[in-house]
Amino acid sequence: MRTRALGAVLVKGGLVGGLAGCGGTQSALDPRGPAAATIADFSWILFAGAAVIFIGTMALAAYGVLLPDRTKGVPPIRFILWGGLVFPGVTLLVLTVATAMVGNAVDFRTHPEEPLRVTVVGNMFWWEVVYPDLPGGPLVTANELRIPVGRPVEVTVTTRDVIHSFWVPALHGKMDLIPGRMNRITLIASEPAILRGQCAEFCGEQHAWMALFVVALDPAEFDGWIARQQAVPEPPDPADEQLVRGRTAFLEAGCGTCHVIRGLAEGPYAAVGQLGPDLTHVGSRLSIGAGVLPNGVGPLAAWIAGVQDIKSGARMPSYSTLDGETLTALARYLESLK
Amino acid sequence: MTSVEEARAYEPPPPPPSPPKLASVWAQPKGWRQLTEVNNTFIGVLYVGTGLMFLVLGGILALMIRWHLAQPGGTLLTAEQYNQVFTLHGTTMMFLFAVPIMEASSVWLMPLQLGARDLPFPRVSAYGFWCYLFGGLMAYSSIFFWVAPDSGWFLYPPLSTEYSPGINNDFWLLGIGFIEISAIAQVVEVVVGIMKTRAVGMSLDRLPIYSWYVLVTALMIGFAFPPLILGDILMEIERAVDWPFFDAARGGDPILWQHLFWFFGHPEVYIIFLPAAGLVSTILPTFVQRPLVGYTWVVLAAVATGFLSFGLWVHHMFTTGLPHLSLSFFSAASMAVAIPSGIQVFCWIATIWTGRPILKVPFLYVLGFLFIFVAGGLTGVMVAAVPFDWQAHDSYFVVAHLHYVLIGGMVFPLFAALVYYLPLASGRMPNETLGRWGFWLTFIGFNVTFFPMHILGLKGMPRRVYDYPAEMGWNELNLIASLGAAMLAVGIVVFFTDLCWSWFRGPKAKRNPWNAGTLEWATALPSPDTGFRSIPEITGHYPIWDDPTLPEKIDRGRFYMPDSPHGDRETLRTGTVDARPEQILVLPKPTWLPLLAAVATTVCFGVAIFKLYWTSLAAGLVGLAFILIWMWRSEVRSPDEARDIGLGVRVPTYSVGPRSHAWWAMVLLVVMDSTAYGGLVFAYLFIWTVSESWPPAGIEATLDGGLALVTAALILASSLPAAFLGNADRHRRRHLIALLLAAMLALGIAGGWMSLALLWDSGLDPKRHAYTALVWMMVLFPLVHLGIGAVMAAFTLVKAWVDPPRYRWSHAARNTGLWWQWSVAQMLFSLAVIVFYPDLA
Repeated sequence: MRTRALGAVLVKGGLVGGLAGCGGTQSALDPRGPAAATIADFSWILFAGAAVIFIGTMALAAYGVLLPDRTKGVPPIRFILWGGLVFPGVTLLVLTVATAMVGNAVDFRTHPEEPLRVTVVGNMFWWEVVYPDLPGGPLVTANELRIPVGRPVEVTVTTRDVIHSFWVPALHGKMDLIPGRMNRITLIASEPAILRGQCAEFCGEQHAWMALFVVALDPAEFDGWIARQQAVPEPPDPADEQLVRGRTAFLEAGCGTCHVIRGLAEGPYAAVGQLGPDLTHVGSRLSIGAGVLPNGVGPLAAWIAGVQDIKSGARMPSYSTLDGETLTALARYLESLK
Repeated sequence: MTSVEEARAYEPPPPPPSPPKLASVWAQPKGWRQLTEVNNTFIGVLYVGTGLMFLVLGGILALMIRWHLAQPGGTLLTAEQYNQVFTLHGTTMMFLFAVPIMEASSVWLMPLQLGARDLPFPRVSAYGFWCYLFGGLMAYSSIFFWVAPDSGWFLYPPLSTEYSPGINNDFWLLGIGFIEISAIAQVVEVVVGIMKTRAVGMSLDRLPIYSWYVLVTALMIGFAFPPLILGDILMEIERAVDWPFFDAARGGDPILWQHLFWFFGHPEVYIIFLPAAGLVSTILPTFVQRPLVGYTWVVLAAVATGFLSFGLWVHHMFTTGLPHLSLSFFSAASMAVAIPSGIQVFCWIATIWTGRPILKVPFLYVLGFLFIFVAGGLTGVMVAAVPFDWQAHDSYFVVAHLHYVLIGGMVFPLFAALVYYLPLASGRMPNETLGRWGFWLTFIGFNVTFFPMHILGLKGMPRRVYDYPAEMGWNELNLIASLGAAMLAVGIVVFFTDLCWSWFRGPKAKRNPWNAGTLEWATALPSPDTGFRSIPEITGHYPIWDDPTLPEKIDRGRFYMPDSPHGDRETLRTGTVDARPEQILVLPKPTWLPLLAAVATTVCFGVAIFKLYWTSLAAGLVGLAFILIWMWRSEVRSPDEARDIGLGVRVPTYSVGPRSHAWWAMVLLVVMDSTAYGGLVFAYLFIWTVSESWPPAGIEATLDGGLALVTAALILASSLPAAFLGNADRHRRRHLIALLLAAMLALGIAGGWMSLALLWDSGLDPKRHAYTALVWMMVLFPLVHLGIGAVMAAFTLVKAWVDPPRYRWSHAARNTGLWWQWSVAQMLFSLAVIVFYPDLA
């Protein structure tokens, strides 16, 4: 932490000084895990070093420009030898070694603790999140990665279509999602927090709105969340006509062609589609549309009716022909899937 | 060396008029026929002007981006439009502005610095220029119909292939691919120019520093562009006929494209930077009135940068999940490249220290360059550090870094050069006041635009997003950046106003107005089409500082070739190392052929975008016909003819083999082509490394070893007559040459046919798997080369038959032989790889 404060003062004065304090849920300079913290410390050292070298070099140039034609003492060749060859050579050698050390320090593959395994699958333009080996069977969710604080989480990333890149700056650097490959990155969160991440490799029209949230929870809370997510949602109370209507609308509008809602796997309109996000517990998520809207009945209704206006190029059509009541019922039903 | 003050005091008398013949053979045609001019003075100015036009066009796109991103929820563009705009912005700036304008500068400036009247292949520069102009306009115009490329300037598959069915990316692949070919043409031009057409006495150790940089850069283009062109071809084939080189579902690998692209893409940065550094090394000494400190250091640094830049392309791929060991290697290599840059920076600073700086506008831009480039270099070292890059990669930090390096490293030196060379091109002085306003607006505007982006990136803002949430803390910085962009734009407008106004209305410049020491300032202003009245003899790096009366002596025709007694355009070819006069190069006069060939080439590529392949083929054949006519008319001279060049020296007008410029050009072409072929072999081996078995599981079809052997034998046999072509030419055995060519053609066609049969019989379906597609490519690539060789051979055969026996056609014969041998070598290697490698692997 000390180097970070030092860097803030040395390097960018007011501009970044303010930044180090306020942070943000998606800032590499506001780390919430050991990897990002190590990289941030390393970054501040780099900034400070670069600032010193920059100022030094500019001072040499300015001296030459402003105080012209003195016998400036140093023979030119020695000047070039020390300034252009020896100094950068030594500095870069040190930096190369430091780079390798930091690289190893943030690589948790050899962490003694057994990691939680998660698979993240990129889609245009959303994230599928799979917990493949939980005691109660695999769990599939979307656009949200909940992890226990302190335990290493081995994220295997791959893609169903184009190249994406998984990036949660407050935890670690990027890892690309590449067709035909399984890349791995191990994350550790050091405190409970809600962090935002975003696709970092240009992936097409809605690259800008392919966000995901990482929610770091206390281990007990995490286990509770898993248990709730693994449960099949209760069918709506028959007395609540709107919810029943919403569920019927979901099935009849054909939503099940692309989406899964566990517990709705029977009948002609079974919700078993694999093209879109699993909606079993969509009501419990922080956002919809991979970060484009907050969750809630209103946003859900707006999303369903106007996907293409909100996120043009998303792989879901706008259901603008649904009447208002059906739409509200559908949105309320989805929202009830906690 | 004469003291600088003395040199400054000396002003040469006004030049006497050139002898009428010299002036008239170099005079530009009037009216429409001016378009037939191939002289570098004319083409060079158009070329630079076109580059600046694309800077403005790319800049307009940049302003649209900054306008749109000034606040979250920007409404100027839709997502789809934004993606087209940022893709085309990058593409325009890289391929239509930065690389071509640096080539343009060398086409215009280098002959003057070398003391040549023109480059050795004027029609090639003209053809290259016209291709660039038409191809560039074609690629750019796609934005007017909102069908511009939209997968990023790096075109990563599968987004650019399977997931972009429209014609957008074809504009990129065909439009840019075509311009890359014209870049290759300029490589031949400048390398041969530097090697062969220097002033007498300008030995390699006296080569102007800018020419060293251009030489290194040209060779880099020669090694970096061909693999990219190969990648373009593979991708276009995948898009057009579905051969799955990059499709993971059929054994291909999208990472293969990234390797091919960045093997070009990283050297590209230095390809842009090095000529600009050359301009700095040329301009800076003038404004401190002292020679560049550490000439040898600077040359070695440029060469080292060239070499190192090919060893660090993987640093664009640090997040693709490569093993840590290879990351460390490429990280170290990426840092190492900072050392030659450091050496150059310290040479420049040392030079400033030795003199008394004169703060005129060009020097201000040089200082601005130092400031921005050093900052960009330091952030470059940061992103070379792998863990830092994991965070910074594809974030706005990198956007900031690359603009610091490219605008600081290239645009500022370019602007310095534009102001500096204005008097040489137009005969008029720039306006100091406008120039200063332009500089400060540009410099401050630049920093206000791009500095905040470093912070944006660290705060998590990724690149290439058309929108961002309002609550991320990115709003203010984006707004500042956008305001800075407006200021930068105003600065550039002021700069161009100065340039245009002064070009026509500025005060007349006196000769050598900045009191420079380099040779180009020894001409009259504006520099005449003839270049120098007589081609001087050089004794040092700063000929005018060495001898202030040099311009006067040149004017009075005291040196070589003071006139053109035969009515030819001529320049002097000198020895590669020692620069002794060796030959008069007779250069072509104005002709429509380069322009016509360029039009046909443009149509050939342009209609292919719309999948009109037959029209494309027809246009291609028309273009080929123009080029063959141009080759047919190439100056053919008798080997016995010698001419007096003055000072008691007589030199021949003809030479063959390694002494001739044509041989050098062909060797260069073969070397460059070998890197494209190398890229193909790399692709084959790369796909092998990512496959579990080889041939991959499920592919039973195999190549018939016997058939391959017959093919190889025929192809090898065809190289035998090719090997004797040079020998037959030396003895002027015209009919023997014809016979050899005919034998070569017959065997080659038979062998080529067999190679096709080999593929056909194997039953390997190229659409099935990346392996099968690559086997086909491994054979087709050399086969196309043999086809080109066959056209050359047929041409030479006919020419040998028709031309009068006293002429020699050995350039054609020998170059055909060279090309053929190279194509044969490729084919044999390919056959060996595709037949034996599966067993070895």
